Amino acid sequence: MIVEELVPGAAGWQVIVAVATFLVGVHAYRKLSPFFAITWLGAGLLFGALWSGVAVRPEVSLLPVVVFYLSAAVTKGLVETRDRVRGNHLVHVVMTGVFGGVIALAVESAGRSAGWVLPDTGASAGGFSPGGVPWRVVAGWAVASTAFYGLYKLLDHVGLQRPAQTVLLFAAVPFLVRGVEAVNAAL
Amino acid sequence: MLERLVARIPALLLAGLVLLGVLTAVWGAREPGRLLATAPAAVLLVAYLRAGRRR
Repeated sequence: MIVEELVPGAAGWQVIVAVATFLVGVHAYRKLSPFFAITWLGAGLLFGALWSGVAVRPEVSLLPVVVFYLSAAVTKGLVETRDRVRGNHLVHVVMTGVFGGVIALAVESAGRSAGWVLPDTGASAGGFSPGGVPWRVVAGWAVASTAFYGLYKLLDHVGLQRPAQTVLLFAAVPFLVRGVEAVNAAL
Repeated sequence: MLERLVARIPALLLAGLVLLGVLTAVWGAREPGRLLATAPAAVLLVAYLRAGRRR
């Protein structure tokens, strides 16, 4: 059947993640600010590059920043239409983590079906596996999304000047990765 | 026109992800059970689109 040929292979997956990263950059630049686009994508790509086992393929380094951004954008869209939670940073960060898990579940399931290379979340397999994805892997993505967005939001709201905010953000990412890996290993 | 398109990037990416999930589950791995993993993302997309209409 012709539809079977629409399922992307390894090269197609690389192109999809690269295009998605570009689109995320365009959205961040135009809808938020150039500063936000540069710091979010820079810190996100650093996070992706340092996350367990990600040095193997470029699309593996790019994927975390796409998942984090998508979950944060969707959360913003949903939270801003509800008066009770509008402007609540804690709700925003927690929901970004939850939606990061939901988005990662779809990515992981499709990726495992099609044989695409995915980041190693550091979480162990076993237990409940929705759609063939161990729940610990989904939880690992949720932890990573929460931690990354939490750090970004924290530094954005403590009243720092932009240069200090940027330096602290990039300096904190390696420690954030270690923290996420430790939590995921304990799950 | 271009600005409206840019504003829809998150929805487009999420819709693309849902489409990928369906393609791989049904025609890729031939495991329709994996559609379960894409269903929450599809629900999220619908909720996001509805919220966008309210804004």
